[in-house]
Amino acid sequence: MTSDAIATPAFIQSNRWPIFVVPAVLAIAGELLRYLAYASINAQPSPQGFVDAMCVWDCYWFRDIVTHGYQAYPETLNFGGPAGIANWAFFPLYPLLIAAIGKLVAASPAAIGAVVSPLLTLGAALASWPLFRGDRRAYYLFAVFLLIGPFSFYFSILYSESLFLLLTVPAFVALGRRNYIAAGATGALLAATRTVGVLFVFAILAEAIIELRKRFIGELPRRPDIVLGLLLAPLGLFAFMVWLYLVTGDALAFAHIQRAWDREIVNPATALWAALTSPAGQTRDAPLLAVSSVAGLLLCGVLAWKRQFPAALFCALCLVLALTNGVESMLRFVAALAPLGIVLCQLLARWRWLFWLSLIVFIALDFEWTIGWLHQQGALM
Amino acid sequence: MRPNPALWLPVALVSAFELFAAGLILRPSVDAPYRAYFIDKTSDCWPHQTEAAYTLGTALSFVEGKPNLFFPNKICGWFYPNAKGTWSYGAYSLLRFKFPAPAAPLRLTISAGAMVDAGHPAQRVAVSANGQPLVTLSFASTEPEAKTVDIPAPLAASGSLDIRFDYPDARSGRELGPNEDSHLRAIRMVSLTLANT
Repeated sequence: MTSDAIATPAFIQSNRWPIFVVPAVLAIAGELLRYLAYASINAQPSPQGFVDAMCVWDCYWFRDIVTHGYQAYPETLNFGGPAGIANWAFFPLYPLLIAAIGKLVAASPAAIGAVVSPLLTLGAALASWPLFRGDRRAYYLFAVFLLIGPFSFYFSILYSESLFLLLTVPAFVALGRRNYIAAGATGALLAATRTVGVLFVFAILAEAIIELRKRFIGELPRRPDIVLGLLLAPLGLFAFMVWLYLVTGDALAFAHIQRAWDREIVNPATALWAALTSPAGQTRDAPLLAVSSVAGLLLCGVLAWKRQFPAALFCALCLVLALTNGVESMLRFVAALAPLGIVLCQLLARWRWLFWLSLIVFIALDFEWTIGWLHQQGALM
Repeated sequence: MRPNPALWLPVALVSAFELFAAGLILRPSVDAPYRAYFIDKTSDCWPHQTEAAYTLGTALSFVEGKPNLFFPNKICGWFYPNAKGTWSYGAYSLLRFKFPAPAAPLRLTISAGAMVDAGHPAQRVAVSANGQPLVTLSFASTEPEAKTVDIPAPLAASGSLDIRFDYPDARSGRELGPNEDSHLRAIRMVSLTLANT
């Protein structure tokens, strides 16, 4: 052994450093690329202008919760639509995190979100390494997908998608190791982040059934770890319900307020068919959103085909639940489901040429769709 | 490795908390308008608060982007305005007007198209003011038609009018297209003026 080799840390020697360094570099490159996209359409670009321009649509609601907390009553002033609106549809963990950081640093919620969200997304990319079982090409492509890919603008602003990604990945890592308590605890945080997070309980249930098979019912009384995992997973939702009850008097206010956006429960299949066959109507770019929903459901099928049943079930339920409100925002909902992004990148990384082609397309779309986001194109909402 | 039986304690604690939280669903502590609109969905009227100030003779617009939008006088029962007007929302719509009390009767002039087709040739609109029925109008075209309603002097003299439009023939918005909101619609209001006769 040479003296040089002795001086080189084992970390470097093991050639594992790119696993950490590549995503970090991609995160910085992604920020720069999105800033360039913003600068390309603004005569006088500035970092503050960039933060403000990226903070559109639901960013307003998160900023409102961070600044004022949850409303006690729906808005009674005219805002244009038929109902009173309120910020209860937005789950609390992400705005709580931003508000906590806001106590430490003097910056606007949008600015904090513009720094914290990319870091959370970087954390999600790094945490996903065990799920690739050594497939570096797919892992790097997933890092590109998250950090400098078509939907990376969702994961770099004051939106809860970045936290949802970060929690989904370790939840499935823990579940893969059959650590039900850790999976349940992470699931509790997922359930406090977005409405669909509570559906992780079904992933835990599926994994437990796969492990115990026919002994499931008989063995459950001897497996408090599984029972605790199943009970922990929805805890975030129940805690939010108690908080909403204390603030508004209605534990289901997060669901009831959907009426303020004219959302009603519809048959997901009917919503998909209507959006595919009828471009006109309230939802902008409905056919494109329907196609993205179908693509998401197909990727669920691929997960099932690869025998990743808990992830397939979780993603399929998330998409179907979202579709019960129609196809609006489905592109974002599909993009934020980490298991779908992982399986997509595993498919695209199977051949070297396809990997490079995908990488170039991802980066090009990051630039293009960031401009679309800044122009508030309906399909990206 | 066999799981620790002590885990049953947190199982019991978490179960108790979640049962308590679930129990809260059954006993909402909300006021009547909230319960009717958001929980029971027995009402399509979420009453907006507004000063409702109005200058007699002003033509209010219901078209997106046009001046004098009707929002300051809106109570409930209207969709978002679009380029062609504002659809009614639900079984009735309410507008409120506050103005210096006149000594003479007033005339309400409205211009609206209706959700009609060969199978449903007309939309009736029962107009009332401060709870007193005035007239039932009939709209038979998708294109805007102007109609007038006279408001008696004693009603106008109050200086405050809650004008309500009831829609006995309202139809589901879904009939306009599969991606439309399914709430009831009847007329698409374009403009409204309340003026001295």
